[in-house]
Amino acid sequence: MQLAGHLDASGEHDQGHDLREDTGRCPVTPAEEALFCEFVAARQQALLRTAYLLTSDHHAAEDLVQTALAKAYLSWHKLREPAAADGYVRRIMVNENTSLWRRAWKRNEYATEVLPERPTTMDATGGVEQRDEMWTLVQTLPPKQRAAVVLRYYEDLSEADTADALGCSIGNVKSQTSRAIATLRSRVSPDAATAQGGAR
Amino acid sequence: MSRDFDEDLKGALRESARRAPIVPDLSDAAIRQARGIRRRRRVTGAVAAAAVVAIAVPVGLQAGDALSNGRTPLPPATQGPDNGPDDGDGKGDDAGDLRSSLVTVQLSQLPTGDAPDLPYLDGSQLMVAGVPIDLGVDPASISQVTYAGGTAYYTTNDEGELTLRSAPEEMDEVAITSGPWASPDGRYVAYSADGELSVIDTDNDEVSSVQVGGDYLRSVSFARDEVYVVAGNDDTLLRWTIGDSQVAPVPGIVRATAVSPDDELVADMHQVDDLEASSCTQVKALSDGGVVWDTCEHRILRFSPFSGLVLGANEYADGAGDPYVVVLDDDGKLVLKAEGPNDRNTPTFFQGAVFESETTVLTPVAQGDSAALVRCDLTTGECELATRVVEGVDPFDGQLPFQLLS
Repeated sequence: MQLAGHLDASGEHDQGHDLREDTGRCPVTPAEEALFCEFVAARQQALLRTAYLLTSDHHAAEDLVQTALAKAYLSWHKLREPAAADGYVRRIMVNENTSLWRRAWKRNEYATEVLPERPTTMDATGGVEQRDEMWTLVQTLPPKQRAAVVLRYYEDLSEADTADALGCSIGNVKSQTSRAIATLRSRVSPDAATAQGGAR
Repeated sequence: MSRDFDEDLKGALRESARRAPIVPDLSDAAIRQARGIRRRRRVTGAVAAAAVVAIAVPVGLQAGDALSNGRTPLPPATQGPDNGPDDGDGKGDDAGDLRSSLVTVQLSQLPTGDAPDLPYLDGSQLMVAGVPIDLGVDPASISQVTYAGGTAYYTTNDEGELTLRSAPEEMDEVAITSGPWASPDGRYVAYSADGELSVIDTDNDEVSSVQVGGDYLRSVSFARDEVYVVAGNDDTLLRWTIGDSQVAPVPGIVRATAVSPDDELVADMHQVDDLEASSCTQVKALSDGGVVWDTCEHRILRFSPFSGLVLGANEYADGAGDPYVVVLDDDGKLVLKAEGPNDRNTPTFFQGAVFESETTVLTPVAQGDSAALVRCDLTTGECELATRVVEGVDPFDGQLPFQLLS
């Protein structure tokens, strides 16, 4: 992606002509819009993967990514650090998903102490699909703990970057992650809970 | 799971992520959605007023006579710098904006919608996702309620003596002066007592306290990891980072009425000597006190979850509530105004409106001797009932049967 050369602090673009008034709709110029589309093309699938880990649902993941992109688009012209675009969209996505917890209450999709049925898929060696079991357990975590786990263990973000994405302190990230890992450990089926390392 | 736990977890996430949907390019859809978001945030004057005629007449709206849940154009709500007609910046040029500018709420004619997404008080029962939590006290004694970490925190008022209690998990009762207030994420609960602000971390039940210098706190707002306190004695705005040993006054703020959840804006009310208004509110940047926009028409109640909108009401509340509520965008321009019909015999009052989401507002409404929770959708400009309508209510005598939480 060639973002850095376009979204500079001056607001000047290759065309040398600001089309805000021409479009009459949104303070994003055609040049900026092209960069936005370029960003989406490059990062959409990665964002969808993270969204899927946050939502466990194909449609919800697609909606989440689209909404996050729409909100990012509205501020695209303010983006002065193109390298931060990915983190910016991810942060919107995580916040949007976390804020949905209120709406999720109504649909009874909030985390519960009652675990869903464990998957029984057998792997090639005839054993229980351990990763499916772990994924099933991850889905039982409260939204913020789950987001912390996804950002730390899937996105491989630092505690500071995770705190930034979640809009909270590093200490909060540590406590959310720690509690999530403790919950996962406590829920791992006893016959599988062997020789596991410590949480970070 | 014989391997390292961390690696198992990472592997599980990587594998599951591969199941993510593969969809066509989302950029066009995102841009369309973005423009829709922008459109509903814009309502302007002259161009818009002309445009609404073309819309309103065919659907039978009559100027100056708003029908039940009907919509008529409104003048700009605020006196901000961008408040004029279309200035060529692309704002306010969409006729569709106006359809959501004014909603006349008539309880008897509103359609019934979904139950509130937010916890709310129904008599002495706290309703959470349709599940009642019985607080087991006389509803008339309940003065303030909030919900955090799966627990309802509420105060009972015994002739002015406030006691903080909780349900269904019972805490030790605490005599308090004001509160409780919860953070938007439900992690923290705050209250004041003996000149101290205390915050319960519901993650671990730890309580952090700090001296704030006054017994009564008008409000407590949580913005990221900062806590903002409006001290009731002189309306000073104080900032506190949980765990710090002292609070810090925020300079240049006269009377804060709301702080945005993103920790960037504050609504600051000040008195004016003017025939048109006795107070105005400036929305200022917390970082440098710069005025973003202002209004002398409404007082600001709260910011939306993403801080892009504000809820407002008339300058001074009537005895039983506000005669209308408004939603303004991040330039102070009107997005929606909800009010009752112009009927002196059946007055309408709005009490304690809140954002249910970034696009819906919930508000208790009393109309004549009826009351209900009402939801207004900012994307459609329409309102609906979020609860049943209760009859036999006197809004001037105590609280309404439905209350949204602080």
